Order: sequence, then C-alpha cells, then structure tokens
Amino acid sequence: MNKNEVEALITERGRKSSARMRIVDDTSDFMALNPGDVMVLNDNPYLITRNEKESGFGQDDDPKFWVKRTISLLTGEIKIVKLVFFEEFVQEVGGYKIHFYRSPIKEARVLEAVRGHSLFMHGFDVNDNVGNNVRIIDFIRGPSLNKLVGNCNMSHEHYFHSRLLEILTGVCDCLQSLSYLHENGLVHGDVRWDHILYDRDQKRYRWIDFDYNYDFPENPFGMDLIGLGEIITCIVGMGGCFYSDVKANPMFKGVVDQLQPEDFSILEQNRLMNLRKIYPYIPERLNNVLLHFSGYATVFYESVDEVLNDLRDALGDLEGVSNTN
Amino acid sequence: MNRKQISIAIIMMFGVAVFHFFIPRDFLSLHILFRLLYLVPIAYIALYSGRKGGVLAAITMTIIFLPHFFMDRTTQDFTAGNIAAVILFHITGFFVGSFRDSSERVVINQQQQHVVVPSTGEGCNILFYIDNSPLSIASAEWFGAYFGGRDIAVTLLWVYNEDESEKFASQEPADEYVSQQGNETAAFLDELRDMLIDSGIPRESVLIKNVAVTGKVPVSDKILEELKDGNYDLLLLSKHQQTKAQEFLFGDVPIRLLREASIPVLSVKGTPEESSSPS
Repeated sequence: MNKNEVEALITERGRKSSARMRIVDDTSDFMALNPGDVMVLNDNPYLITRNEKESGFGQDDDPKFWVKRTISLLTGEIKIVKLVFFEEFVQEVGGYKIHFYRSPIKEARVLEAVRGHSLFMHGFDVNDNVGNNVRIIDFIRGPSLNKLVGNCNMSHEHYFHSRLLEILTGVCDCLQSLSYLHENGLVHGDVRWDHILYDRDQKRYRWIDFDYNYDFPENPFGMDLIGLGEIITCIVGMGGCFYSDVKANPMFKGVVDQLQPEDFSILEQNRLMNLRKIYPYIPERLNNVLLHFSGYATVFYESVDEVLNDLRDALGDLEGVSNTN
Repeated sequence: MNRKQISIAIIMMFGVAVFHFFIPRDFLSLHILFRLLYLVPIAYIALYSGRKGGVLAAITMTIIFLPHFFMDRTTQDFTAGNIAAVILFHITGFFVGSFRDSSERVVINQQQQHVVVPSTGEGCNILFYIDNSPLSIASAEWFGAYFGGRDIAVTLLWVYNEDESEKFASQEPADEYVSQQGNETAAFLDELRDMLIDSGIPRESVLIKNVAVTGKVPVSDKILEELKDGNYDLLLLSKHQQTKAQEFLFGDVPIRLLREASIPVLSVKGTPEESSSPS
C-alpha cells in the first residue's frame, strides 16, 4: 500500500494526514510509532490516533506505548492494536514473589477461545511483516467497572440500598464467564475491576486485557480466583477498603480497635474483607463470601462456580433491602 | 456416559429402529429377531449410565417401537409378543442398570478398604510423585531408609508442561527451555533412582515415568489419572511446609490427593529449608 493510497483513505475518513506520517509494516519499534502514523497489518491500514493509558494500581494515565488506539482506514471502525511487548516480571502478592508474563501468544489464544462469547472483548491476531504477533481488538464504548462504581457520588449506605443489587446482578454473568476460560485451560491472568468494561451498546459487562499470565502448577487459576474476591469486595465496599482508609475515616472511629488481623485479606494484610464490621447492614451471606478470602477462611474456593453460586444465593438477601431508602 | 458412548448408543438405537421399520411384513422371523435387538442399546446404555439411564433408554425404545403395534396384518399372537418385548425392554433397563449401580458401589467400597499391609510392604507397587525440590531427595532418602531392601516396585512420576510458549516472546526459546528442563530433570530423576536402588530396591523395579501436561491442568489431576490407570498400592510424595496463604494461592498437591486418591497416601513432611518451592 503506497503513501498516496493511504492518504486517500485518510481523507475518505474525514481526517487530515500528517506531514510526518510514517507507514510501517514492522511494528517492532512501537515506541517510535506516534499518532498520525499508519500501521499496515495484513493489507489493512490502521491510523494511530493515540497511545492507550494504564489504569489502576496508582499507574493512572501512564501511557502504554505498545497499545495504540487506531482507526481502521478500510472500515472506519475504532480498533485497539496491541503490539508485541513481552515482559517477565516479579510482583509481590501477599508477601510472595510471583512471576508474571505479558504474553502476546497467550492473549491471542484467549481471543480465539472467546470468539463469539459476548462477555469478553473480541478481536483477532495477525503477524506483522516480521512475524510480530499483533492483536487487533474491537473498541468497547463504556466505563470500566471501577469508574462506574467510583462515579456513584453518594454514601455507602445509599449505594448499598440503591445501586449494589443492580451492579452485582449485572456483573455476575461476567464474573462467572471466567469459568469458560478455565474450562478451556486458559486464565484471564489479570482479574481486576478496571479490566471489566460496561459495554454501553450491548448493555453488559465484558472482560478486557488477556495478556497477563502466571504459572501455578497445582492451582492454575489461583490468581484469577483471588482477583475475583477482590472485585466482589470492591463492588460491595464501593471501592477497596484498606486499613489506612478505615483508620482515617471518623465514621469508623469506634470500629478500628475492634478489627482483628483475620478481618483482612489472607494475602493483603491491609485490605479489609470483613466489611460487615464497618457496614453492619451488609447481609451475613454476602459478607461470608468475602470472608472466604480473609484470614478466617479454613476452606478456600477452588473454582469460579463455587464463588458465584454463593454470591448468587447471597443476592437474594439484597432484594429485600434494595431501594428501601 | 461420555460423548462417544452417547453417539454409539444413538447409532444403535436408530440403526435397529430403521432396519426394523424397512423389513418386509412377510419376514416374521426377522421381525422377531429385530424385536430382540432393541435390547442391545438398552443394555448398553444401562451398563454405562446405571438404572436411571437404563429405564430412560427403555422408555425411548418403547416410543420408537410403538408404530409396530399399529401396523396392519398383525396377529393377536404377534401383538402379545410385542407387549412382551416392551416389558422385556423395561426389565432389561432396570436390572442391568441396577447391576451396574451396585457394581460401582462394590468397586468404591473395595477401593476404600484396599490398604497396604504395613508390616512388610513386600510386593507393593508404589507411585512416587517427584517435584524438583530438595524435599524430593529427602523423601527418597527417608523412604530408602525405611523400605529399602524389600521386594517392592517404585515408579518415579514426573509431571511437566510441554508447552511453555506463553512464558516467552517466541516459540524457539520456549522449546529450548522445555528441552533444557527435560535434561536437568532427567539427571535429577536418575539421581533419585540410584538412591532407591542403593537402598536395596531391585534395579528393575525402579521405573521413571514422565507425564506431559498442556495448558492449565493441576498437577494433582495428572497424578490421579496415573493412579487410575496404574495398579498402585501406595502413593508417596513430599509435603512442603506452607502457610494458609500459600496454600490458598499456590494450592497443595498432597492435600488434594489425601482427599481424592483411592489408595493410601504417604506424605513426607519437610523442614522449611527442604521445602523451598519447586521451580
């Protein structure tokens, strides 16, 4: 595809081509690819409009140079193009060092497995001119779950009565869909609530970002399950409840001294799981789901279905309290 | 029943029904023969799925067989024979299914009661699951000291992942890694094998078995499969010291096997140094 053809397509899409526009079919040097450049992948030109940004874990707004928001010049659709950025790193989880991998191959396998499954992002992988495995993802319009809950500008009690049931019910199918991956011998790898988007067009929650991977030979889905527990806690608690937050909040002054080490996450000793101690109106069955991830737990969830079965049962207790305020 | 068995059952059911339907009316002996052939899929389903499945198959076959009651030129004797056949379908489904259910219970009971004679252990066939931690060496030493010099068979089981491509940027280094790990493990397993032979276990009775895993499958699943396939009397493995949080995060092979293995499990518990997690 030559420059004139690309420029004609850009004009057709109602945009102006940049004077410094580069047309590349080798995406290895993703740092050098800037908005205005065009990547030709499998004969399809994609105009880069911006670098996507990281969210969560205090990394908000850090640019992810290997993830480009683009416009497909052939169809005009917005596509997220994920370029090859393999990395291996050690992250501490609950005091234990865990090897994580950012694996393009793994993400491509998950995309293939979830093709047609409405609760996951969709896309496909192509090899660029030098064999880099590039994933082309459909853009999903809508906020992430953390932003959706974070934007509820109200007290927890009001949130509990007016929004919790609706959000939890809506997200249940999405959470349960992780078992589809597990049944297919795959993991999500990075189960966090900012990796669930509320798709405004399809009106459903959908998983995104499958490139993380870890390897626990005996408990291959362990990190996914832990992430699931954290997501449920964040939804119920209207965000993560950490010891420092509880201590700093004058509303919980009388509760702080009553907190026991077992009230916190079995892995993150500063993340409160026994939310009923600070929000006593949380029903016991719902709180018990959270306690399975706390220091009180003597038996652990071994599958997504086990968690979701308990969670769905617990939702019954919320039906009576919803919208009573 | 698995998919293959269901497919076979469906083919048999409809095969018999279709052939029977197209037999000319005059061939009475063939009709009688095919009437009996209906029992084959019923018995097959009952054998694989038990009483419920057997009765369900009998009901299905009765429905399929029903048109033969209404065909013209049927004599009273022939109708009586059809009624007897239908009764026979249900008796077969019920009793063959019941026999299958009770046999399964007997097998489970036998498995639960099947224990190794601890006094001598002679003639025992032992599966020894190896991870590549120092505790496996300590377990082999301990086992050799207690059980060496006896006429027992030991299979050293190693479970490895043959597809490590998700840990690397491309396939080539992944294959290299698997190959290198394979070589290192082979040396490790040979060392353990020699230790057991030195303890007096006959050389020809110490075997090494490598089992490959693809994708995310718990190691304990593979060990349970091996226990099911092989005729083992005892499972030996190492129990790493783990905190509750570690057990939650990483899982625990011995705990799962203690829960699910159908034969005695002997776990050798290690000190924190020996328990350094397998890489």
